This record gives sequence, C-alpha cells and structure tokens, in this order.
Amino acid sequence: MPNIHYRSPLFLVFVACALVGAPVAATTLVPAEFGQMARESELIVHGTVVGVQAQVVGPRRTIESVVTLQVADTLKGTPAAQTVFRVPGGRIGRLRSVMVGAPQFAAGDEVFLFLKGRAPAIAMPYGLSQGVFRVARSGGKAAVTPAVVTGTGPVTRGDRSRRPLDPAAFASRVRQALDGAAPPDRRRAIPRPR
Amino acid sequence: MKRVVFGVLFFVSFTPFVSLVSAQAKPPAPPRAPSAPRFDVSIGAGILGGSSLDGANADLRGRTGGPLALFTTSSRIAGSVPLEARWTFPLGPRYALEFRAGWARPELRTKIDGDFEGAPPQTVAERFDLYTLDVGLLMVFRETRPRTMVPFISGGAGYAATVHEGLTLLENGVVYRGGGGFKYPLSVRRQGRVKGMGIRGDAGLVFMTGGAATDSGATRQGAASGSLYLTF
Amino acid sequence: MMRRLLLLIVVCGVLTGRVDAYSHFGTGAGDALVHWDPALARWFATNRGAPGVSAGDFQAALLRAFQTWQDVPTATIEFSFAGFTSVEPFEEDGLSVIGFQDHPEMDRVLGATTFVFDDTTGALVEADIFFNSMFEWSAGTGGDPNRFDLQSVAVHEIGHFIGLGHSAIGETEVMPQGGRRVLGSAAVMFPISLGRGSIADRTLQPDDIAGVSDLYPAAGFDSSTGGVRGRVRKGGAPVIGAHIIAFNPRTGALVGGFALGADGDFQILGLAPGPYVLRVEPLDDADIDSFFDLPNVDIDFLVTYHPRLVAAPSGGVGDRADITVRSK
Repeated sequence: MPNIHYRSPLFLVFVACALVGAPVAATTLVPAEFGQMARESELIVHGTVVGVQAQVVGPRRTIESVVTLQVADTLKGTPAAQTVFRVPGGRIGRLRSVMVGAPQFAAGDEVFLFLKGRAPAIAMPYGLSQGVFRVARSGGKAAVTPAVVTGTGPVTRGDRSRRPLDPAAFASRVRQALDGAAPPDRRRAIPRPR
Repeated sequence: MKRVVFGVLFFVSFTPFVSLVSAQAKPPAPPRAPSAPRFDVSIGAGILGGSSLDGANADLRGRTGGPLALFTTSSRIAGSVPLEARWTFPLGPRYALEFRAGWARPELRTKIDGDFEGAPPQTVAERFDLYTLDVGLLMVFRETRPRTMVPFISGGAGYAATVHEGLTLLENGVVYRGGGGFKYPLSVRRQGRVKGMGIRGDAGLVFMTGGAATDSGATRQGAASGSLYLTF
Repeated sequence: MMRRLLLLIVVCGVLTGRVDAYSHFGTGAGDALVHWDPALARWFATNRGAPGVSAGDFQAALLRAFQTWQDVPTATIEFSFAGFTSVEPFEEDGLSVIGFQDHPEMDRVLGATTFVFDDTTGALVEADIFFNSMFEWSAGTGGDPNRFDLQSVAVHEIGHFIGLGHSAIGETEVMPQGGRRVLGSAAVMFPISLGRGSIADRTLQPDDIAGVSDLYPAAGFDSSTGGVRGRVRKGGAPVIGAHIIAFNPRTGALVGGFALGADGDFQILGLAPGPYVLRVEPLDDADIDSFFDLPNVDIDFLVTYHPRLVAAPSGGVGDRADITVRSK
C-alpha cells in the first residue's frame, strides 16, 4: 500500500517546520555578465572569512555586518593580507536583520569576492550576491559555485560545458576576463545528445 | 483497497444471484403466479478508446508578454479495457432506468518535446483508475422474446473519479454517455426468481469533463462492451 | 490561531532546523519563518518620490501592488496603508516603511526587502522595502519604455514582504553588447527584472499564487489542492539544490521548488489536483546565494524529466517520486 499523506494540522506544522529551514533569498536584480562584473569591480580576491561583526551604522540605525577576509590571492586591486567588506543585515543582541538576497557569511567560508566601493566607504559585494563565488571543498577536491556563465545568447541550465571550476581555473577565468580576452563561446544553441 | 471496493461492487452485483442459489437449496416452494421482471443485472467488459487531450505547453511569460516555451507537450489517454456492471429497472414496456458502475485503468501519456535546455524528447506516462457511476435511460425497440435480438438506444450522465494508487482521489468530473446496442435473450422464464438471461452488446461515445479530461473541454472516447445479464 | 501556528513553527525551527524547504513558499530567516500576523500588517510610505514619480504616484503604485496579492482568491492576506512618513526604510524603528533611497553601492539592485525580527522568539518586528533611486522609475499605468516599472518591481518586493523567496523558473540570455536579461519567467518572484518598459510582472503567475496561498491559505485551499514530493539523486547520492518544476499538462501551470533536504528531498504544495510532469534542472546559471544559503549545492547534472507522471491528490501529497539525474 503506497503512503498517502493527507493534510492535517500536524502535517501543516510539519510543512511549517520545513519552511523554517527554508533559505533566505531575494531582490530584484539587474544582472551583469561575468566580464562586466570583473571589469567594474574594484577589488577581486580569494580568501577565507575570519570574522563577522554586526553593527548599527549611521543616522539610519541600519544593521549591517562587517566581514573580515584573510586574503589568499588578489586578482584585481591592491594586494593586502586582509580586507574588509560589508553586507546588509546582521544580529545585534536579540534583533536580527536580514536583507533578502544579500549574502551571509560565517567564519571559515572560503570565497572569491568581487567587491565594489572605494575608501573611505567599506566595499560591498558587487550586485549583492552576484559578486560572491563560494568554494566548496570535499574529498580533496575544490569547486567554485556558481559556475561562470560565458559567451552570448541563451543561457541554458545543464549545459555540459558549464561546470564548477577549481579555484585555480576560476582565477584564470577572472584574469582572462580582466585581460579582455574573449572566453570561448559556449552558447548553448547546440543541444547535445544526452 | 481498490480491489476491496471493486470486490464490494461485484458482491452487490451478484447478491441476487447468490440468494437465488441459496433459495434453490431449500425445499421446493409452491408454484407462484407469473410476475413481471423487476430488474436486470449485467456484468461485462469492453474497450474504451483513447482520446487526445487539449493540453497546454509549459510556457514562460516572455519579456514582451508573449509565451516562451520551456517545453511543449501533448497528452493522450490511451485505450483501456473497462469492466462494468448495470442495474436496469423497467419503467414500462419500452423504457428502463439504468444505473451503471464502471472501472477502467487507462494510461495517461504526455509527450514532451522542444525543451529549451535541450533535454531529449520523451513520453512520460502513468496509469490511473477511472471510476464512473452514472444513471441513464434505455429505450428498446421491440418486446423481449427468446432468441430475438432487441435493439435499444441509451444515454446517461454521472460522476467520474480519477483515482491514483491507494485510492488517492485525484480529481472528479462528470461523465456523459450515449449510444445503442442490443440485448439477446438466451432464455426467458415466466416463473422463478431468475426470469431470464441473455447477452448484451453496447457501443457508443463517452464524454468526460474533469477527471482525466482537460480544463478546456471534454474527452471524447468511443466505447464498446459485451455483457451477460440476468433478469430477476 | 495564527499566532499559535507561528509559535509552533518557531518551536519546530528551533528543534529541527532545516528539514525540507521551498524557497518560494516561505522565506525562512534563520530559525524564524517570516510570516505576518495579519493584525500587524501595516505599512508606511515615505513622503517623497523620485524623479518622474511623485509621493502620491508612489503610494498609488504600492497600493495596486499590494492589491495584486490581496486579490488572490485562494489566499487571505490583507495589508493596510498606515500613512506617509519621513522615516526611512531600513531604520530599525519597528515601522514597516517602503520608500525610495539612493544606494549607489548597490547599482545592480532595483529594490530589496529587509526583515527585522527577534532572534530568540522569531517575532517579526518590521519589514522594509527600498527602491533604488539610482534607477529611473515609472509609475504610469502603461509603463515607460525607458524606465523600470515601479508597480512590477513592487509586486516582486511585496512578495518578499509577505514571506516569499525567489522562484527559479525563468530563462535568461547574455546579450552581445554585454549584460544579461530575462527571456521569460513563470513567476513574478523570479529574481531578475524583465527590464525597462516591461509591465508584465504586475500580474501574478501560478507559482506566485501557489506560494502565497500556501502561506496564507483561504478556507478550503488545503483540502482542494495537493502536492508532490520526491527525492533527487545522482549515482545513489542525494543532489542538494536541484530545481524542480511541477508542470500541469492540462492547465499549463508551472510551480517550482528546490531539493533542499539532506536526502535531496523536495515537496511542492498548492497544486491543482491532477497529474504532473516533474522536470529537474541544475542552478548552474544562477546566483545561488540569491535563492538559498546552502553548502554543497550540486550543479553538475543534466536536465531530467521524471519518467512517470506524478499525481497531486486533493488534500494530500502524492507518493514520493525518486528522480535520478546524470552528471554532465
């Protein structure tokens, strides 16, 4: 007998519980393509988050977080051992502020960051989460997500040529974009046999 | 569970027959005056034709408001072999009120093509249980006589339920049927509990809204069946 | 009743953490579910507009956008305009304020929504929306081909305001002259704007309607709709972060969800009863942080259809569909 799951208050609570863990998302974006983002960013770095400090800033009493990154590699901008950037939201006492669509960081996160904003202002990730590429390490392998979208034309999901890059290949792709070298055209138009 | 329900259906159908058998085991009853038939019970099987469905494409809303197909689909209900039971109550020499219960297990097939992302075309399918319960009118064109074909026309409407495995109700709708056929009495008796038996053939069209049908229209399926009936 | 449910939700969140999720079915913020108590759903508009949009135009466009959500017949959510204010959005003041602000540092962001809540109880304190006045806006009834339509973006942001996350049902292209734009989407809650001049996102789509109805169901909604559930796997291992689309071949409705459970589980609710096509795709073209915050998201697989139609029964959730995908 197959399972049948009818809605009941308990089921609703289960669903509600499921929702509790649901992710934060959202903001209406005007996206940039990768090369444009690389060119328009002031600082592009690879590193590991070593600190996140929430603070209330300005006359608007807005909660934001200042994130400190231990820099492993500077792909664009002035090299430094550490850099700081800010993201909207954070926790002050019991109050927690979340901007939907803004990235959140925790100590230990390994990331490539495309940052925008010149001193004295503290830089922010380009286009909120657009400028954040996370490095996931598992079983001795490292992969950078999201995958880099290159070429022109429709962007299709499941494109065999679009895979997560390892950090070295990703850095190379960034440098390629900064040099203005046209990346290989991987437009989808050609659905391959699967 | 489904089988249980269907078993109950059959049990109900055969109840008069069972009581007849038990009656035969008793001492012979004194002869009774001839009486008119009270109802027919028939059980049979047939063919329910396939039907294309007015499906929809998986359209995104394009930037200008027009559609952008994520993929296209066409759906069809495949033919199936329905089982059916009828209870027919005479309303006079030519007319009868007929209750019908049917079960079929058609396969719904959706062909997917033109995927925006280039996924290969394919057909996805699933079988569903289709239960129908309807009431209708039957009109015969001549008096019932042994070994004489009796043509009739019939039509009716009722309830259709599409049920997935485990009696999980998916949808319900309305079924309409119309057509004709014949009854061929193999024997006719004027006395006894069973007053006759025969075979019956039906053919016609079945229309269904809701259920496995589309939002915008009705399924149109040809149907034919053969049954064995007992007259009580 | 709503408060009790909210409390239960919070308790569940504290006890269980992530179980399974639908990004567009409720924006979770840590351990709290962003879900309004209708009694608190009052909003203020800032008393200033932006070039081309007066404060009155601004408030009128917002009212229309709120009304779009309130008009969903399968949901019961109602907000009231509390008045104009000189207070700015994003001030932690307990007021839900919507207004224009200059955010040059966010020059790729048309608008955004923030929530402030008590992290220990989950109680929502306020939600604010800003529209970036770095962009040119239009509040005209027919839109303006050279400006972003305020009402369309407001419908999207109000979707967040009421607790919805992003939908991933949409397609984009990279333009030869640079930049990326949407070719089409099946949800107002798709994160990328349709662009200047488009007013299409003033109208909700089935994915949006399923989302709001699931959060604030009208009487009879739960018993008259169904859900599908399943699990996405690759080589026997769970696939985290897959995007699943449930397609109703009769109505053409597309409703999406994500496989966010530890076993690659997903569940999509608020569907019209009937058979569904399930299609799984990787978010390999997307800014994943905009959808959810999860490690180990798998984007290395091909678009895959479940080989069977899957039933969404009335008032329940169908049998589990196990979908196996292949690496690229």
